[in-house]
Amino acid sequence: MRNFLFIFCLIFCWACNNDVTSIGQDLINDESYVELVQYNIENSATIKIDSFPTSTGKTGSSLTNLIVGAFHDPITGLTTAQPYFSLVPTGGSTINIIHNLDSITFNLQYNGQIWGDTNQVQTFRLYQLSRLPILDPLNDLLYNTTHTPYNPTPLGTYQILAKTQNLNKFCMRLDDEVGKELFEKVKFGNEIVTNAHYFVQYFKGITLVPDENNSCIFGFSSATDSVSIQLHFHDAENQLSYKFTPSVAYSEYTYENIHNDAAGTPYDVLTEQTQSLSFYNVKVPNARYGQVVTQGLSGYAIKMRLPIAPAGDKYKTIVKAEIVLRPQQGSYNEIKLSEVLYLYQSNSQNDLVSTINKADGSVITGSLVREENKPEEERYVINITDYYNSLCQDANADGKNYVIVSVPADLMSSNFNRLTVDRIPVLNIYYARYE
Amino acid sequence: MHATNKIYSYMKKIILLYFLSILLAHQLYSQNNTGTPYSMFGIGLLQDNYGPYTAMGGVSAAMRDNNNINFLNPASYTALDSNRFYFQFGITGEYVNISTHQENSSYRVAQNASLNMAFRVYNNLFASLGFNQRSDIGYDLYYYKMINGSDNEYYNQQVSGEGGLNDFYLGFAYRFWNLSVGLNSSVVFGNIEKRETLTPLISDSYYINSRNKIAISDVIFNIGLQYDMKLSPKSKLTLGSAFNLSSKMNARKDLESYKINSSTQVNETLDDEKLNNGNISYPFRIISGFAYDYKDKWMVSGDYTFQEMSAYKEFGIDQEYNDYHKIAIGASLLPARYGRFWWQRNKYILGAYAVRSQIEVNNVHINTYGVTCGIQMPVYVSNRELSLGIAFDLGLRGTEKNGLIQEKYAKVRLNIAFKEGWFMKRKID
Repeated sequence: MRNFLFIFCLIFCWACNNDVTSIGQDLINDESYVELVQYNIENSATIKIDSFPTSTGKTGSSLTNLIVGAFHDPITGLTTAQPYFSLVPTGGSTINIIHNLDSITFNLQYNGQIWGDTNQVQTFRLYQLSRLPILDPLNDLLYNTTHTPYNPTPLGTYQILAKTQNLNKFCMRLDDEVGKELFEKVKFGNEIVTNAHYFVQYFKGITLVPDENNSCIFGFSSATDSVSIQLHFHDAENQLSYKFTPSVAYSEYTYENIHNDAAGTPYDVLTEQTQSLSFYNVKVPNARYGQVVTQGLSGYAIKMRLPIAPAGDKYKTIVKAEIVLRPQQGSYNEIKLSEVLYLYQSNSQNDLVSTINKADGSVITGSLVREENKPEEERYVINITDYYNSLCQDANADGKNYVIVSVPADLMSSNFNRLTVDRIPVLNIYYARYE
Repeated sequence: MHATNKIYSYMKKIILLYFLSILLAHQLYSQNNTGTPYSMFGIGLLQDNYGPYTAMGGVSAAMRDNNNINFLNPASYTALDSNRFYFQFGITGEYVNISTHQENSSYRVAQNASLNMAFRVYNNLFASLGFNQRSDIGYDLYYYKMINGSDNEYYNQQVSGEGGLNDFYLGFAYRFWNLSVGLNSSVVFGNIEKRETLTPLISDSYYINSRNKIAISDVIFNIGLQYDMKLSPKSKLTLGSAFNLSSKMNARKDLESYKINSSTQVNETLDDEKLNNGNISYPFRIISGFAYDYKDKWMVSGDYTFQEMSAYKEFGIDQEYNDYHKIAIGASLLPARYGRFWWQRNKYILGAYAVRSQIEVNNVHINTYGVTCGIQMPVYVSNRELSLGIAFDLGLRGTEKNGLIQEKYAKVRLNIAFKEGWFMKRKID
């Protein structure tokens, strides 16, 4: 009997740990699978955000970069960026009775960002403000639409070929009369230059105005040691200078006036933020099926109404949902593609109500996916899985499914990157059916 | 003193049975018995060929003798010796070469374990009880598939299952002249657990884990009839049939499924369903056949099995299976039951069977064909007689057509039946 028992045990031990895991794929029941369903987001349109803050207010951190220039974009029209800022006396070499003014200059430090044609000579004029900018009483902010008057006579005019090596030495000679006035005040210790507040009230500020015929927009640092009006003088041995620079204490007056004139483009019809221009209603050369666009500075953004997936099978769930936007080929030679896109909740006024976040609280972003040697496959992918799942579970989803894809709002005033889409945006939904 | 030895002997047997039961339980519930992917359907792979007559193609309807407990037809219990207590153990070891038109592999399983006992109760009333495996599930498959609707994105699908149905039965048989009637009352029980993981191979997505566990327990009655007649002084014919009526087995179903974020591993429950009062149908099954015996030397037997699997439903949902059909035929030669030499007393057996199973995949029926051979050797040891059966079963299951699987298997079944003179009265003590 023991022998038979032993034989049974042998059979048990013999039959262990099989591995036939990868054979017979077609045997699997078709009822379980992962599938991709693509919905064209037919309700896609371009909107124009008519007003967005370009300053940080009294309590915010001061702007670190400013933009200046003008560019005539064949897609979105003429965009001009005109920075404003206040200056305070920062000091430098002591000015004595023996010193005489040599010159006065406006200097800035190029930050490496540039959009447009850099082979053209660019013209800039510096003006002195005739009053301080008026802050929004609600939030102390200034907007891209804020106009602050300035004296009609420029302090100086500067022409430059917009090459990096030239921009790195941006130095505009200003009117000597203005220089002399400031020089004398410093030399004799006038209280206007010994007290920053008095100086701001006296001098108001400056604005750098690009010529309408300029062909590029570039960025510069607005840090206190990067932008200045300098008084140049000398003694027997040395070249000396005295600076007026932006101050953190008055950073609320630093802002951009940005204007987009879309005349000659399909987007000229967008005169109010509540208006939208449907993808299919944009008929322009090079755009295959239509067009939507989002761009910093000019304020364009893409509004979509997401299709709500039907409830369907009980044992079917969404494992991924993403918005795919394919850049129009050839549209980003002069104006670079946006590095990142944000997704905002929208309302009927086309406001950017709030960013849409993932389940973990982080902001939903879209980034560019590139495939080697396949430029036509370049696409922005915005993963909206968590948001879309909650949307589909919301009984009142209809009406809440308006979203805006835009360059980040906080870069709207400092970045001119653009995304132009000429194929209808797509919503990819990956379902898993598991039972 | 003699009574003490007898008690000691019984206790040894009970302890032995206990360990065998544990071994069976281990085999049935614990072992990685991953095997045929065809076991993924329904309640698992139904046993095509098992029992004490495996070497004869698995015929059972009309088989009756006094060496084996033919638990597949309870009417056969009346053929057992009236003054003996029978034990019978059986198990099958299976080696399978599994292939598709693209690849092949192999696996080994132990299955179809059975443990049976039988004895006479009173006059013509016999009883048997035991433990059998009715169906078996054991698969673990991991596939890489293209996402439907996509041309360059894939997902992994892992499906695995384990479990099966077993029964513990108590049967009685009574003989009226040449007609024997039997009834097995089986408590059918078992767990079937099927798991699936769907993992899209795309960034920042969710993957799905689901587990579907079905626990089944109910009583099924199996009725058997056998009629034996002498055709001549040297030949005997037995006709037999066994069947169970369609039955709805109580079943409890637990479905748990989760959706897990592949980046954060945060999971979300999709389903946590418990269905306590469901049922799974165990459809009508019948085996009918004959056995012809000539001079207690030659035997030919054949039978046909039908199960109405087209009526199989799980929790009210028709699984759209086909009916199950099997034909089996076998023959044996016993040179001389009381021959002088060992080889004369052995029974030499041949058989064959063909099965048209309930499974149909991609419009292809999954059929099984097998040829069998074996030997039954009587062994006499003091007060007990053993019948050691060794059966070899070589067969083919499925096809490589339409991307399906073909399994070429070689099985060895060991069947040990021994009978002891527990009820014999000694004339001299």
